[in-house]
Formats: sequence, structure tokens, C-alpha cells
Amino acid sequence: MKVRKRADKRTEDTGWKITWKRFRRHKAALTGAVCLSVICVLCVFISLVRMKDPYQIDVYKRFVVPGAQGFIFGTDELGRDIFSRVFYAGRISLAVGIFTALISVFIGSTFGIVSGYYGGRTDSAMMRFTDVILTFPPTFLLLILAAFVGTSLLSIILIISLTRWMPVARIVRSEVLSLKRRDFVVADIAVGCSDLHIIFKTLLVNVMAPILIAMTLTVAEAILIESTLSYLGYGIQPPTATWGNMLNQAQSYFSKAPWLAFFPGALITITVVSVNFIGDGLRDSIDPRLRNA
Amino acid sequence: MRRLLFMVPILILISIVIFFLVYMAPGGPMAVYATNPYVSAEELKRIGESLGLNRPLPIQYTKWFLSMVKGDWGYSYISGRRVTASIWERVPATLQLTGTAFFFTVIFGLPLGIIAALRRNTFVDYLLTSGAVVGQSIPVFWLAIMVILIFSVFLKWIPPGGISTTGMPTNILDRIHHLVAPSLVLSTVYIAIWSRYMRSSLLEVLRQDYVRAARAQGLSEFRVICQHALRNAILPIINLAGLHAPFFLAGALVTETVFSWPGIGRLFFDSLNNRDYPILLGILFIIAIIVLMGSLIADVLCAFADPRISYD
Repeated sequence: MKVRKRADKRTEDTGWKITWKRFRRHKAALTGAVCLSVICVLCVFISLVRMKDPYQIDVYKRFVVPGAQGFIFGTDELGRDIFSRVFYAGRISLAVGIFTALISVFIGSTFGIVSGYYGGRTDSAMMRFTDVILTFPPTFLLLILAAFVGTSLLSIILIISLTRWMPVARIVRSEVLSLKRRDFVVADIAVGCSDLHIIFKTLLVNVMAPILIAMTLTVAEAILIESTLSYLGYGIQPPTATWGNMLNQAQSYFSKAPWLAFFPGALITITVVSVNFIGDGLRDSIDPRLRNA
Repeated sequence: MRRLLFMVPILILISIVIFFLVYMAPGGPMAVYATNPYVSAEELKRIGESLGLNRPLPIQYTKWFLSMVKGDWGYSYISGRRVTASIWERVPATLQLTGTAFFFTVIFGLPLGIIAALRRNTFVDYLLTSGAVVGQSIPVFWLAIMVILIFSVFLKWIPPGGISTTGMPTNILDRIHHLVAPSLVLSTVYIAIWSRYMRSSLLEVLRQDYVRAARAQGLSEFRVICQHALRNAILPIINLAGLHAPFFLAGALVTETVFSWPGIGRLFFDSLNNRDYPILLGILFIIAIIVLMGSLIADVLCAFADPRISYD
């Protein structure tokens, strides 16, 4: 771990440059980054790439086989274009992933820094609390919360964040614990810096790297969880398309139109694999020692 | 013994969380009756009183927790049957599924991790580690759908779901035929995770001095790996197994739903759809117990495998 307190501009640059060099050598991560970029670009600019409306119903074009009549991925039971639906759905799924990661990282790092910095009883109480939630399989809690709180985009994001911040908290805490003994933090305490100053100006800067890695992995997890919830019918509801609820609807037309079940799932898999590879690559390039840890 | 005592407050904490989660829900436990047009407001009040729902929440919680401990888990709102009976009849199906999945995880996950570690930084290693990332990233339900689509709809090798062929007398081969696909699907994620853990744990151990010492003694590589390294590398995996025990049940929820497997996960899902609170509470309570038992058993096993660890 690079530990710098007031790094001047020059060393800062070389630090991230080294990271970028190592990242470029990580083939899987690079492939992941390319795949993810393509998917993101398609999701953002889908309205320009393909003029078909994802919600346009056309009863004369139900179950068109992929490739036929200009429908790359075919059409569904209502004659809607799967290609544009999949990428419109991708907007929702990616948004859930990114915002969930931001929120859980925010909660998790606050929790982790406070717990690690203050230590003692506060720390053990807070960590016991996270341990208890962490050991409980989230699927059950998520389903209950989603069933009771509601299934709007916002509530799904909040619900998933609520169950995914603990790993971040633990990583940040252990990082802060080791930082606390470093000279520059001890120096800060000795010259009488306020707690807030130490937390924001010294600690937060130095835990950015692990936070970044944890955030990437949380994006992948959040996308998986959202799709599972939507698939089970407790996520974002139709007509808004998400990868999960498209699969839910596809189930009724299994033998008739198997492509309905294939494309959304394939996109989830490609996206999540890409994000995970990027996370792995980041971890290896920010801190190569962690590859085998 | 101290650890056993320590589990009591945790169990109480989890139970409070579950209880309030379920009871704070909009509509509350009475939602089923409230939406029924044939139930008048008068009757609604009477039902609520008979279920004790008009008392303050802390009292309701205490009563609920005490009756849970005593084994009186109440009655299902929907079927009117005992919660314990409803859950109990689903236990064998879920145990078969999760047990087989656990077995697959051990016989595939660990060897794959060991191979990756021994062939470190070779093509085999990259293939296995990348494969593990993919295995961790595939949504379980989609994998299940694809397996059904390919092996059941197209190839017709396996039945599309269920635990046995309806109308056929219980037949061990028939049961296995139904069991293979869902348990393999359920184990995929864990095979991926365990192989990664196994790999890094073994690599960590292989760097230790006692492995070098064993090699220096001129032991064969096979004995170094099997007798010295693996024994130490397996410890974190035992902990992982204890931690994962409740997660197998969570994975089973999705797998059981897709394969219409009549287990606890499916019961949970159906009860959630019906807002059948006593069953939901019962299943969550069982999971809480499995969570605690899992970590306890893992600790005990670790103490067995590693004489350096001891518990008073």
C-alpha cells in the first residue's frame, strides 16, 4: 500500500501511472474494461443506434426469431424489439449497480473509519454489529424488505445498499487500524489536529485505493442482486424493463422463444464478469502483493 | 461452553431484528384479512385480538420469542397448519439439495483450487482463476434456466423440475435423476469461490518455513503437499464452510424456485407471496440458528484439525 500523506503532484502522478501500467498488463481486466465500455456506450446511446422504441407493441411481429426481419435479437411476446429492450434495461441495471456501490461505499467507509479510528468499545460494538448482519444470508432479508418497502428504483437501490455496506466497512476498518500506527498519523495526533481533520485529510486519502476496489466489486454484486430480485418478481416492475424482469417474463415462453431467456442473462453475465475482472485487475495493480492473499 | 453462551445474545439480537422487520411491514400481519372483502372491520378486530396483535410490540415480541424457544411456532395464516409441521415436511428435500450441492462443492472446488495453486502462473492457473470469476458472476437463476433449456427442453436428458416423477413410486434412480441438475447449479458459485480460497490459502502455506523444512528433509513433493501443506491450507476453508452453510440455503431459495423443488426456499418464496408471516418468521428463525451453528461447528472442526487452537 502506498502511504503518502502530503504527496506532491509529481509522485501522485507516477503512483497512478504505475497502477495504470500494471492494469494494462492484466489482460482479463483490460478485456473486461473494453466489454464494459461497449455495453455502457450502447446503453447510453441506444436511442441513437437503434430507432426502435423498446415499449412499442406490434402484435403482427410477435416472436420474431433473432436476425429475421431486421430484429438482431428477435422480438418478444408483444412484438417488442429485444435488442433495444435489453440496452434500455441495461440503463436501469447499471444505474442500480453504480448508485448502490456509491451509497454502500459511503455508509461502509464512514462506519469503517469511525470504528477503526476510535477503536476500543465503539469499535468492538460496531464490528460485532456488522458481523451479525454479514453472516445472515442477504437474499431472505432483501426479499422481505423489497416485498414490504416497495419496488421503485430508489427503494431497490437503498435496500441493496443496506445489505452490502458491511464488507466495505470491514476492509476500511482494518486499513485504518494499520494506518493509525503510522508515523504521519501519530504526528497529526501529536500536533493536536482535530479528529475531523485527521479523518478527512489524512485517513480518507490513504484508504481511497481499497475503497475503489471494494466499490467495483460492489457494482458487480448489486447488478446480480437486482437481477435476482427482479427475476423473482420483487425488483423493479414491468413495464420498465430490467434484465431480471425480462427473464421473469421470458419463462412463460420457454420452448417457444428460448432467445427471450438467453439475451438478458448473457448481458448480465458479460457485465458482471467484466466488472469483476476490472476489480481483480485494480486490486492486482494497486497492490500486487494482494494477488495471492 | 463460553462460545455457546455467547450465542444467546446474538440469537436474541437477530430475532428482534427479524420480528420487527416483519411486523413493521405495511399492512402488518393482518394485511391478508384486511384486503378480504368478506371480513368486516368488527371481525378484523376480533381476529387481531385472538392473535394478540393489539398488545404493545415489546410484549408481543417477548411472547413470540418465548413460544419459539418452547417450540410452539404458531399456525400458518393460509393453510391453518402448524408452522413447525409445514417447515418440517420441507426439510428433507432441502437437505438433499443443499447436501448434494455441498458434496459437489467439496469434490470439485477444492481439487480445482489445489491444481491452480500448484500450477501457479501457468495457462492452467489462468484458465481456472478466470473460470472461477465467471462462475461467481453468472446469475444462479439464469444458469438454472439455461440448464433447463438445454438439457431438458432440447436434449430431454433431465426432467424440467420437481423432486420426482409424479405418479411413480419412490425410486432412488428417479430421485437422483431429478437431483443432479439443481444441485450442480446451486454448487457452481461455491465451487468458484472455494477454489479461489483454496488456491490462495495453499499458496500462502507453501511460502511458510515448515514447508521449506519438509522439502529440505527430502520428503517427496507428494508428501510435502498432502501431509504438510494441505493440512494447514484447509483451515480457512473449514471456516468458510461454516460461514457458507446458511448461504447454501439462500442459494437454494432461487434454485428451488426455478426447478420447482419442494424445499424450504420454495416455501419461503410462496409464503412471502401470500404474506404468511408465521412461516416467514419460522424460516428466518431457523436460518438464524443455522448461522450460529455453522460458525460453531466450523470452530470445533478447526480445533480438531489444528492442535494449536483450543477452546475452553
